[in-house]
Amino acid sequence: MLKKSLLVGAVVAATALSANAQSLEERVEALEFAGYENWWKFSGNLEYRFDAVETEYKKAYSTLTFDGSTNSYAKGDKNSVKHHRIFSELDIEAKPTDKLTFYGRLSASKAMNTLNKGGGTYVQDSAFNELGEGMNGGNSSVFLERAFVNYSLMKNLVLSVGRLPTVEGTPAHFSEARSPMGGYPLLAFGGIFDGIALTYGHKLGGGDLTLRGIYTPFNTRNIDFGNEKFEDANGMEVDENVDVYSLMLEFQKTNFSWVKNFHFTYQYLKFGRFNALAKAHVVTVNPSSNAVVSSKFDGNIELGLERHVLNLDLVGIAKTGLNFGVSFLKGKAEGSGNLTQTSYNNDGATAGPTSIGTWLGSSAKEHDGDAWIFNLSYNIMKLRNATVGVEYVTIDDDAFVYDSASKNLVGQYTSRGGDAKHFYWVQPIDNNFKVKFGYQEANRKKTNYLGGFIGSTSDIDNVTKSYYSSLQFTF
Amino acid sequence: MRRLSVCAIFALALVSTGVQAGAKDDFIKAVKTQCKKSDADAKALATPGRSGNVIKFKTCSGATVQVGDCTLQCKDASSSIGG
Repeated sequence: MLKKSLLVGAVVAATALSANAQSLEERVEALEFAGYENWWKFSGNLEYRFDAVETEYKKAYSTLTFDGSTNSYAKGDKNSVKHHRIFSELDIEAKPTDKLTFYGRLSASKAMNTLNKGGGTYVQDSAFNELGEGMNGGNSSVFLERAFVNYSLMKNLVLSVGRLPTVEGTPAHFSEARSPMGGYPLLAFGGIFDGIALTYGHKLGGGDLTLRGIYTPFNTRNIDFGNEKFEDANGMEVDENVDVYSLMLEFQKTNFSWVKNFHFTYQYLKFGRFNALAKAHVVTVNPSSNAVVSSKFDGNIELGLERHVLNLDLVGIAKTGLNFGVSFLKGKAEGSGNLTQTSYNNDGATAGPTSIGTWLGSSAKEHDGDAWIFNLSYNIMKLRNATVGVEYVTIDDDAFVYDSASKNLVGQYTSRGGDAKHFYWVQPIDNNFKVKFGYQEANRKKTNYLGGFIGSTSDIDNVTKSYYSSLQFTF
Repeated sequence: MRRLSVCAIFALALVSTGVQAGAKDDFIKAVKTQCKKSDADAKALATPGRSGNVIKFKTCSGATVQVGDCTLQCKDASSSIGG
């Protein structure tokens, strides 16, 4: 009887164990498939930044904005403005196979609770709209700061296609105490470029050598007639595509005896001649008469650029927390043609066409100029790896510097003909939260009449200062 | 039966490892390359868990991250063209 009971018990136990084992097998299989399915990864960053900005105009001058209105400054004018802003980034990574990776970033950058948006042409973005955005009916716009794929064609060869990470490049990461945040050195060009790139990587002397070619087709589009080219003011067709090419050479190595991380970058960037302003038409309001004014910018002005940038980042010098960065631009910019402005009042009166000039001057000319950025920072391990640093920028009159995607409000990297200083302290609280304090000052000495880039050149003396603080959360 | 259970546990271990293998392998490789640690020392630093060193390195938002006596450079692959 006892033997029989033991036998029955053993059979029951074995059956139960078998059922459990089978269940475990199924669970393992489910986990395996779940692992294969789950190729998405999300992360992000949210920043609240407060800037107290003061601009002093030490020389009088006037400029024309692209909406057709004139700004005049008298000697000694001062403006003080406070800015509360939110920057939010949601990063997306998808890696469905070992060969293909997608990176995307949804970004929002906004002044907080802007209830009065006067002074511009905010026809579709009027006061109080902001209190309901995202909830009220609007449109389906979504902004992608970056969206690109890396596809491994071969072991060392990667094809990249899409909206590439070309802004906030080195050395911007020094003052943010982050790893490099963008693919192009800042002095090459501060704008988001869509394009196609081929990257070849090779191990060399214990480091990583990277050679990269990038193609960026710039476009000019006739929105009214999508399949027709624009004509400029002389009746000549404007090329709808202009090619921009770039070559990059990078070498990165860790653990030199004298520096923890060595990162050298050379970039060559060439713009074809691009006509961005043929038939540019804007509608605005003349503030003195409240009359609706329509301005038409037209002409055949073209901009060509050729740039060489050298950048060196040294992190952890002499086995300390000392970091150093230097970035150098040798640039050539050429403006050609002539732009005119014609104004139409709502009573039928017209003014113009008035000749404005071309890129960087009142007549066609080639401009050469250099720019430098120096960074020196120190990581203090005893203070949770806090970073304290200083940045200095100096820019020639005729160096064409452009930075359209920067958080700073002083023109830190566009202080043409002058210089800029930046002192910063980045204090991590923990792995996901850091606080930053800083002071920036930019001295700008040159500008052009239209939008700062086109028409006659003026000597100016603007000093813009900002005290700022920032709370940054990563998740 | 025992063989089946062992296989199942082994497979579970493999898959679990697979889920984190990339992150852990990346961590060990970084420690060996950047701090010249031995394989064993690098593995010893690869502590698990949500607040462990592997995840600390994987989710690093600063320029560097400190793990033990080793300072690792962080990299944001999404900010580099071509990876």
